[in-house]
Amino acid sequence: MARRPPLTATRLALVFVGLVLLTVLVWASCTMVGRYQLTPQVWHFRAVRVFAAGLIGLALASGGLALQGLVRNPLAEPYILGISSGAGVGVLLGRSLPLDALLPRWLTEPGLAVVGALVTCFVVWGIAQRRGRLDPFVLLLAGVIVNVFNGALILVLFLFASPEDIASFIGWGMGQVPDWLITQPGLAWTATICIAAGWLFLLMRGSAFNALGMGDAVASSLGVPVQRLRVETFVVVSLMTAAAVALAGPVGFVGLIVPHACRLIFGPDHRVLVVVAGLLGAIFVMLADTACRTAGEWVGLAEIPVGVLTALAGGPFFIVLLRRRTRGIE
Amino acid sequence: MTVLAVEGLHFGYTPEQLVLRGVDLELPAGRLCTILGPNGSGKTTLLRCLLGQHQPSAGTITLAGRPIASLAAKDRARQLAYVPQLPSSAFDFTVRELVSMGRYAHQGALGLHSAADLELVEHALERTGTLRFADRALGELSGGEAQCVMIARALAQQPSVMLLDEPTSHLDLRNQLLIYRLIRQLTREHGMAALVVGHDINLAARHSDQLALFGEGRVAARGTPAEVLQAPLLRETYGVEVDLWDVGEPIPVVQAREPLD
Repeated sequence: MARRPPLTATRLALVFVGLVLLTVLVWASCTMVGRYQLTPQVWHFRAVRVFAAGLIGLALASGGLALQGLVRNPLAEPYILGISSGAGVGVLLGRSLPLDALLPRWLTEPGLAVVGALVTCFVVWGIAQRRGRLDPFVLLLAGVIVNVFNGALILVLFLFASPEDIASFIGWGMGQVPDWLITQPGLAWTATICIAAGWLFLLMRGSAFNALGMGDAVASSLGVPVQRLRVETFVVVSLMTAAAVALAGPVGFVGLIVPHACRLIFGPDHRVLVVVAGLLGAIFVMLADTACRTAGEWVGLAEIPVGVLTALAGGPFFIVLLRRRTRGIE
Repeated sequence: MTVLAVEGLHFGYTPEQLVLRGVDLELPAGRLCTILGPNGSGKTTLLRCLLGQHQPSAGTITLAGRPIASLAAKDRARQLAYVPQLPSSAFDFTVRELVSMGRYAHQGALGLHSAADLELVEHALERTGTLRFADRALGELSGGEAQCVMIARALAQQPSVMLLDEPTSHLDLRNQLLIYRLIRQLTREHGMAALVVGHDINLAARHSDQLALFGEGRVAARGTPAEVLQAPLLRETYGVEVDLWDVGEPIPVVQAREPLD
């Protein structure tokens, strides 16, 4: 293995600034792409939509990376563990219940999404506990089962929706970055603050995730407050996932594909990976959503939800990783 | 000077079933002490209590004069390092990177290394003989080499006490010797105390300054190897007939003959 130079503040700052500039460049480029004439109004709509796509990518990729580090399982990510579908149940409850008179929508939807994500997260975590230790395979299995259960709850909520709501619910359920976000500044700001604060939290935990790779006992002896870190990170990832789901519905596999690609290129150091996976996740979803949006515009069909594209790419990717992991265990 | 003191320690996984029943232990600086005893006698449980993974129901643990329960996680890590039985890393870090994680408790919020940290890491690599494979991954190393990496990582913590959980249990004869010698040298050079949990009585007796014999959740005997290796004591603690062979050294060789009914 080639010697990797030690991570210094200068190197980390260079990676950060370089990737932020690249992210801004991709965002600006994506706002220019599309069939319709680029009027200031069209640009404004696109700018907010592409920004939302970037936020979603940042939240899901850095959240997936943190979960993988936390449970030492490369297959963990918010979608597979059911956290996204739990947040989805919350969002649909917010849309279905007559709460508008009591609270604004920008508060109810993300609020209930956080509750749904947190409940799912701790149910899955609780099931996977074996004598105080986390069983990585039971964790995945619990995630799959809770995902199915949450899917059934979402279908039940569909039954109570009006016919005109069902079309938007279906698009949302497939993971679609919304056009209408510009009309909901409260929701956009709430999601931005939640995701940015969560990412900042994760940036400060990179070296703790590295230490956790050697096992709970060693990490604890190094000074990592393991149990507190687990609870805090699950809460933060649930918050970030809930914000992403409140914007676009459950967009799957971003938290799997991006961190793995980043590890191949940048190595295993979470201090760098939280920065890199977050920003490359933003770039990945911005490009994927722009591809979905423009493909729909050019062929004159309804646009393809970005969640469909990420699932088409992520499903086979997950199987390859699973096979590699089980082969390694044999 | 005593760096680690355990007094009247009690712990049970359930209140009815106590695993530790009043453990007393003192560990002086610069000395190597091995805890021996049959399976289930509470050795590993004691280690977990020392690491803060279990909260004792009674008794005190003092580290460098301060109750261990009053120390924050990072403060404890600056004093107490741990080497596990099976070295592992879930991610593809190099040996140098793993050893540098020993500086975690000494770093700021972003976990970046100072020049002094990097120097200490190189010293730990050099001192443990792991520098020659510092750029390889843990998975590419032999069991003995991997265990040396874990000791280097613990040394980089600059602890006053190093806890080692059966560090030689999966190693061949040569590596068992090398690991024990390395631990003993480090205790001498760095003035650090080492507490080893082990099973090989003869190996431990030849390389430890002190032995602590565990039986039924308490220390049945503690002292120099010559003081502890007494046939009636071993017979009672392990439930086996033992022979002690004089091989012309101050410490006899212990041989288990047959289990007692």
